[in-house]
Amino acid sequence: MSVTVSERKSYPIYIMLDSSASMRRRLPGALAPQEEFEQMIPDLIMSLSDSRSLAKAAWISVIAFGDRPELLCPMTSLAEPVQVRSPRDGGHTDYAGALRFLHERIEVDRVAIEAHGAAGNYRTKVARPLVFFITDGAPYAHGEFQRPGEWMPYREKIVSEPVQARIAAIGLHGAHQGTLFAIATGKGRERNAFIATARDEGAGDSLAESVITVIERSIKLSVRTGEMVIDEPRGMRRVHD
Amino acid sequence: MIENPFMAVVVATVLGVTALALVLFGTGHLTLPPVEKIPRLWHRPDRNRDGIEPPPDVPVKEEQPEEAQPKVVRLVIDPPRDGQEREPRLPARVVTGSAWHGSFFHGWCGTTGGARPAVLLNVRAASLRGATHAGMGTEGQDAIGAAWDETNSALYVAVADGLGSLAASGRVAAEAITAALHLCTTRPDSLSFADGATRMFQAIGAGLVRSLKEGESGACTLVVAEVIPRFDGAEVTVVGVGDSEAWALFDSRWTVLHHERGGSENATRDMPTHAAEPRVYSFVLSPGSVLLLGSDGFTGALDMSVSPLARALARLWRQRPGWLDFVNHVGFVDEYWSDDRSAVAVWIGEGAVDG
Repeated sequence: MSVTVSERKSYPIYIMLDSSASMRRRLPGALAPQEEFEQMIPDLIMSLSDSRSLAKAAWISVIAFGDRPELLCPMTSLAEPVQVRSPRDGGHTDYAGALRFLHERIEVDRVAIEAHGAAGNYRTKVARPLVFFITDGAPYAHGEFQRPGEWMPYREKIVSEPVQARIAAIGLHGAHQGTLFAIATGKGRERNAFIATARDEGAGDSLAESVITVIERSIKLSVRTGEMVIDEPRGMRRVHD
Repeated sequence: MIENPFMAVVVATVLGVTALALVLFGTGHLTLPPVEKIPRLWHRPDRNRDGIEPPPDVPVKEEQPEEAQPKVVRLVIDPPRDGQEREPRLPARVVTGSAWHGSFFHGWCGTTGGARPAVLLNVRAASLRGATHAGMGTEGQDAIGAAWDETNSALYVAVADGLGSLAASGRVAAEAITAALHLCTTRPDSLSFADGATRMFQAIGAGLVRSLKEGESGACTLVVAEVIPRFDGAEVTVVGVGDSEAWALFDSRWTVLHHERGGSENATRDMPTHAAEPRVYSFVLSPGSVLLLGSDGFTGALDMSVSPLARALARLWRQRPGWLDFVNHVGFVDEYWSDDRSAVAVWIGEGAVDG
């Protein structure tokens, strides 16, 4: 970047929500994971929008994935009203379809964000996307378990040059840890993969707090060169290989 | 306009002799002939020039005055006798920051007597806790400082920006400034600031590592400048690691002296990680120039063409502003720039008696 024209960075944030049948399984006395997260997302967006500095820099999109990906909220500046619709109930969990769709959206959204800032007396630079991938970690499509070899190539496209997205994978109690670890990015062996420590009604709230904190840190504060590592959200633990 | 360093030295020598004659044979008041403003910003040694770009051909366009610019009106109970507030002398050494409050300092420094008259320097400095830290309920992490070395007639100014992702970064930033000013003013006479810069940054980095307790982490950017006032301006050397920046303003044009912009992220080189690799640049600034050091929360809004902040400051800093106006300028209103903001600015006097 030159110093001839100053730059302002815009930060695209994607929330990927698993809407498969297993996410709607409810245990007595607790919300189903999908319900928990559906309640969390509007609160999360409202909290982010309340921060004036974040609202100036952050954009958000919500994508559900089950049998097929579904755009619940197109990429929208937090400075504008954000509307998220409810997902259709899905049956399967097609990771390959979800990640391919995300990869396609990232380029479309980058162009849209740059165009939005083109009129100002500064240049808009779109930062690496931040992806929060919420799932139970059980990819299943076309009547069978979806092997990592089917969806990992799309994950690699998203996390490698030129996109270099950063992914936090989040699962509730009982989610498949190996899958969460494989999706997430991080620093060395420490990846941004988290799993709830127990069935907890407040898991969505603490996760929302943690997501807000990590977004604030990664957007508004200087950080050391290297990969972003998210602190463990309350009520969750980091997943290791 | 003289861009040749050799010619500039010749001009400086002629003016210096003229001034000396006036001191020796004049009336006691040093009255200087009008000095043509000479934009003489150039690199003296050809070292580490990466990242520096020439100023654009077109000067920064002047802002249309006036109504959009806020003005701080002082509460005056009893006006000073000559209509102007006295500028205090800069403290011998001052270190402050933006932890839980904004802070500022100001004052003049320079050599007021002797056979070799030099311009006086006026310092304005402010460090303001950012809206992001305030919103998160965390402490600000910028630190600033200045020291006047009477023995060597040199001013040292410094800005450090603690990395928000590491908890102890605010303390680390303050310690980096304290250590830098100490090492600058106790350096052996035989070692120039520029030649000793890498060793100095290594020593600061080693000290920062020692100061961190087990399990504690902190880091900061650091930019330090030496300003040696001369009869016809000032020799300036800037040393930096990370995204805190140094700029010069002359004749309404901004020129960047140190920056590390370039990534799409807010990741930066830091102390102590990159203490062995500071970037060092030397320049001569003309009388009437302004040297500015700042954290990225402030200087990130500057550029050399269309930045509204750069344009506004080019107009407002033609003469040095009052200290309260300066704080107002550092606290400019724009919600995008919500990290801590720090700025240390030095107005290079236009004559040996310019206080």
